[in-house]
Order: sequence, then C-alpha cells, then structure tokens
Amino acid sequence: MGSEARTVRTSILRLGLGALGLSVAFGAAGLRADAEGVTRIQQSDGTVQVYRDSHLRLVGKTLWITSADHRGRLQVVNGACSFAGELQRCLTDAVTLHQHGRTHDIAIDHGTVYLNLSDAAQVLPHSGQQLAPRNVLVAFRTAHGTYVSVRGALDEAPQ
Amino acid sequence: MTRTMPAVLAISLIAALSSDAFAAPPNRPAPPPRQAAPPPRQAAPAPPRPAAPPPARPSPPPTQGFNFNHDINARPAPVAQPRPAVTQQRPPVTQQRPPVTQQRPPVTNNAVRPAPNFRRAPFTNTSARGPYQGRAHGAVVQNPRHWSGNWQWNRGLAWEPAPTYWGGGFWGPFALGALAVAALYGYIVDPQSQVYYPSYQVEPDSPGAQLLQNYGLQQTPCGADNLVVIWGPDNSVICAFPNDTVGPGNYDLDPTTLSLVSESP
Repeated sequence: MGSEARTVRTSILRLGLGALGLSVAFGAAGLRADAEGVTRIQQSDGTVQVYRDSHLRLVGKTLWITSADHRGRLQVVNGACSFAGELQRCLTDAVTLHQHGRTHDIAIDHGTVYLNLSDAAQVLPHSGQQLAPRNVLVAFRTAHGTYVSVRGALDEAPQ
Repeated sequence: MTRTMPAVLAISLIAALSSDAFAAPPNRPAPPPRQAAPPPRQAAPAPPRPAAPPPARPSPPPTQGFNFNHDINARPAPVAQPRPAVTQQRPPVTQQRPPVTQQRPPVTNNAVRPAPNFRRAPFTNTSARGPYQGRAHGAVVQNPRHWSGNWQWNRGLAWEPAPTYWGGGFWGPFALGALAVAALYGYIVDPQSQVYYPSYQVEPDSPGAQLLQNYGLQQTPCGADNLVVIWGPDNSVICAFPNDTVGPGNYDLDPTTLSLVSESP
C-alpha cells in the first residue's frame, strides 16, 4: 500500500515536471520564431557586434528595435517619408537608446529607413537588392562614427 | 498508459533542453568574424595560470543590450564631421533669414556666381523657403495631377522636413555631409542681404522629382533669366525651364498639395 502510494506520487511529480518543461520549451521556441531581425553595430574603432533575433516593431512612424535579451531598445523615429514605388523611404529623424533604465539620445549624422509594407518583394532604389514583404532595412551613422544597420521582418506592424 | 505518459513528457523535456538550453544564448550577440580562435591544445597539459589573458579586442559588448558606448559615454558630440563650411558660418536663424519686407526688391537670378563676400543661405531646420516666405500671395498654379487632399501625393502620409537633412530631403536625401558630392546646379543671389542660395540637382524618386514630373518641368541650373524658380524647404531652391503650365518667376512650394504659389500677383 505504501509502495503504491509512493509510486503514484512519483508519477504525479514526473507528470508535473514534464508538463512544465514542455510549456517552457514551447514558449521559448515561440519567442525565438518571432524575432529574426539582425542588428549590426560597427564602432568607430572598427569593432563589430552583431545582435541576432532582434525584435522589430513599427508603431506609427517609430520603429522599435529590441535586443533578444530585452535589455536594450532602440527607438528610431522616421521623418520626411516618401515612396519609391511600393517602398516607403524615410529619413532617420531621431534615435534614442533605452537601456538599463536610462534613456540616451543618439546624435545622428545621417540615415535612411526602408519599409516594405506590401505583400511583394521590392527592389531598393539604386540597388539590385530586394526587400522582402513586410521587411525593414535601417542604416544610419551616428555623430561619433558608429555605423548601425538593422534588417529583418517586422514582428509587429500596422495592418 | 498512465505509467508511460510521464516518461514521454520527460523525454520531451530532455529534448527541449538539449536543443534550447545548450544553444547559444539568444541575448548574447554573435561573435564577430575577427574573434580569435582558441589556441590548439598542447600534448602536455600546461601549468595552471592564475587568469586567462583578456583578448586584445573584446568582441562581445561589455554590457547586455546594445553597445553604444562610444556614443553615450563620449560627451560632447564631436563637430569634426565632414560638413560643408556653411554650417560653420551659420548664425542664429533669426539673423540669417533674409529680411522679408514688402519694399524689398525681388531677388535676381541672373548672377552666375556670387561675389566672394556673399554668404551662403543657412540651413534653417525649419520649413523656411527662401526670401519669399510669406510673400507669395500670387496665383496658385494647381498641380496638374489634382491631388484630392493634403499629402495625397505621398499617399496621405504627411511629409515633413527632417532637421538633419538639407532641404528636408524634398529634392533628395542629401545629408549635410553629402552636399560636397551633390551636383551643384547654379545659384540664386540676393544682392540686398548679400546671401546666395546654391541649387542642387534633384534626385530621382524624390518628392521634388515628382513635383517636376507633375508639372512637366525640366530642371536646369539656376542663373539664367526667365526661369521657373521654386523655393523649397530649408531655403532650398531649384530652377526649371518654363512651360505652358508654369511661367517664369518665383514660386513658393506648398508641400501639402504639391502645388506652386506665385510670388507675383
């Protein structure tokens, strides 16, 4: 009797752990499948950091780029938007870094944001490259000589 | 059945952990290509060292999140960017803007090159449109495309000048640093205020190019007489040959409707 009760308790414990593990595993897989943006930052001294699985979110004229660890968020405000065919081209108006509970304004020298909100791939102006549907390409240079490029599919965008 | 279910779930858990937990952490940036490979192992075990020497150029950022240490730790921002000399000469906007008075004679556009003592019109970071801002009360030359509402030429998306760009990007996404390579297209000279306004070639696919296409205008370098002179954002100006739709003279640009307002009544 005591042995059977112990066996039942052990089975219930294993069942609970298994269910918990499955939920954690599927949850992690789901998050990773959403964020596929790649952020490349080339410092003025030549060193390069590449941040994969960046989360890209477009809210109005603002593009939010969140690092995979959710510690850093880049806020890119677009301005002077125009269309080149179906491709929306904006100038980088302002960039703000939200990180470690602080907000830093990043001085921008120049930059451009390309948005393809259509359902077909679009050719970038003066380029042979294509931008896939609902993809974004960001390239800007800061006043301190840091080159930043972001490319990937929008995880959240206005319909 | 009840005895096999926990085993199946446990196997799933192990499989999930082996593919997820042992993979590279998602919050860690990928190592750069120049990261040095680990040294090959020696046949004999090396004596233990007190600490591994740090790499010469650490590739991972010192903090999590994004690495903008060069930008947020360095103050103030350097001003050594390759910008045109006009930015060095720029006085406050209120002093630089050409005086706008009703008695003021019109700006001439027949000077090929400004006198050496003339200064360049400033970037205003506003929607200032040359010496005719506020003075263009003449006839409106409606855009032949007849855009139905404001910003319809831009699919209803409000276009606005970007402060960091010459001309607000209307005639092309010319950054300040790119002005040196932009094609100069003549000058407009204001002899009274001794200010000159350089003109640059309109870039294809820009809003300004769309304006020219709508009116059937062909851009030409400023300087000759009897040209269509269009004043755009941030004291920018371009010139075009007149046609049946637009006669010679000075025009103020209305970016909301992409229409032209004549300076002369």
